Amino acid sequence: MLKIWYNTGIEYLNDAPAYFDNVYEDEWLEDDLVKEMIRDVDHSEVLTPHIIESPVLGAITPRELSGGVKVLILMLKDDSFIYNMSNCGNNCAKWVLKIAEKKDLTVFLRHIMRFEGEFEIQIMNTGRIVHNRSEYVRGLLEAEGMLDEW
Amino acid sequence: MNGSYHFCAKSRKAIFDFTIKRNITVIKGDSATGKTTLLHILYEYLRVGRESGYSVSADVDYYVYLRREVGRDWQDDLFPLKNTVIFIEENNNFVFGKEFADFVKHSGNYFVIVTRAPITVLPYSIHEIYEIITDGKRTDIKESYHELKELYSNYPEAGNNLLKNIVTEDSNSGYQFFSKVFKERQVISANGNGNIINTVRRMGEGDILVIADGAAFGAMIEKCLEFFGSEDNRRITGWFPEEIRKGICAKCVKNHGIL
Repeated sequence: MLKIWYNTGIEYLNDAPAYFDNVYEDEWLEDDLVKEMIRDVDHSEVLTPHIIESPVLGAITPRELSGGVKVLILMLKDDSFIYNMSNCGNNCAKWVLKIAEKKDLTVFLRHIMRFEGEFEIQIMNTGRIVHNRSEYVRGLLEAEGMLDEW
Repeated sequence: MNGSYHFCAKSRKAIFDFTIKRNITVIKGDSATGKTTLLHILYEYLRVGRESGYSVSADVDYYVYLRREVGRDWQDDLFPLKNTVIFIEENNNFVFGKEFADFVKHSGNYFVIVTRAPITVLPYSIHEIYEIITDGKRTDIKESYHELKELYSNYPEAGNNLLKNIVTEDSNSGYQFFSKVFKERQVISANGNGNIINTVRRMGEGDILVIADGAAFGAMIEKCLEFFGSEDNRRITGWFPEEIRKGICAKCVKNHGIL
């Protein structure tokens, strides 16, 4: 399940892309799900764990991947921290849900990321579990104190 | 500082061509659109000039703040700057604080901030929130061409919205003006942009048009639009023109499809 701490003062890893650059493992880049995320978010192909073909930058290393996809890979592979999901754009949202299907994933979020369809997300500030976009948006606004009532 | 400042930042692979128009600009959007690449080019050129292998042309001084260096705070780096466009990378949380807001207000510099989170302490326009887009159609250059595109328009798509109810941000001249324009409909004041969502929530059935001043609505717009878009049982349209008090006539309202 995806568990979101919204805009509240919990400890999270502030600069996950920089952390990724220092800790990523070659075998992470051999994971099919990681390759799919890189293909979809960065529009790039993993050729080897050391070389990724980007349509804009040419041949790059994992250090030149986008910040959003680095955070996705960390969410999947490294449970050392709570990550800031606001490092990820809306084009990462479906992958966050896919990762949360595989394991409990607790994240920090500072903006309203757009999730589509049906899902199960727990807003940790209030404990409320939400299942669709309408409930999710109201849940975040409730957690922030912007709704008088549910 | 006032006016617009044009930048063209180039690498062998990419060109970023954009203009900064006001003192606060926010860049957000999808991942992998080039935000970090842009700041990297600007930073490296600032650091070592053409030895970076990049080129940057700008009609203004600029500075790039990527992250806090050992032994230095953001104030050490930014306070000495005058008449400068200051680019600030994501994950620098000082941008959400009051001290930074005071600095923005009094320093006279322009600020370009990469962040998806709303900066509630800063009064920025909805028109100065951008994403980076790639123009895939250019055949005259070998590099990929990127520019800034406004994320939000103040000309909403009213579509099938029947506009049964109108919610205005203010309770003064704007509210009075729209009460006259929409005299056949229920017009309610939210008494401030922070109350818009609750006011809309409390309204009964019926489509709604929300009108607020876009000039300082930048930090609220995402929350409002996400909330409006997630309501299944009615249509809610947001209209966020700037400087409502300077007079938006009923003809303008009609011409832009609101009536």
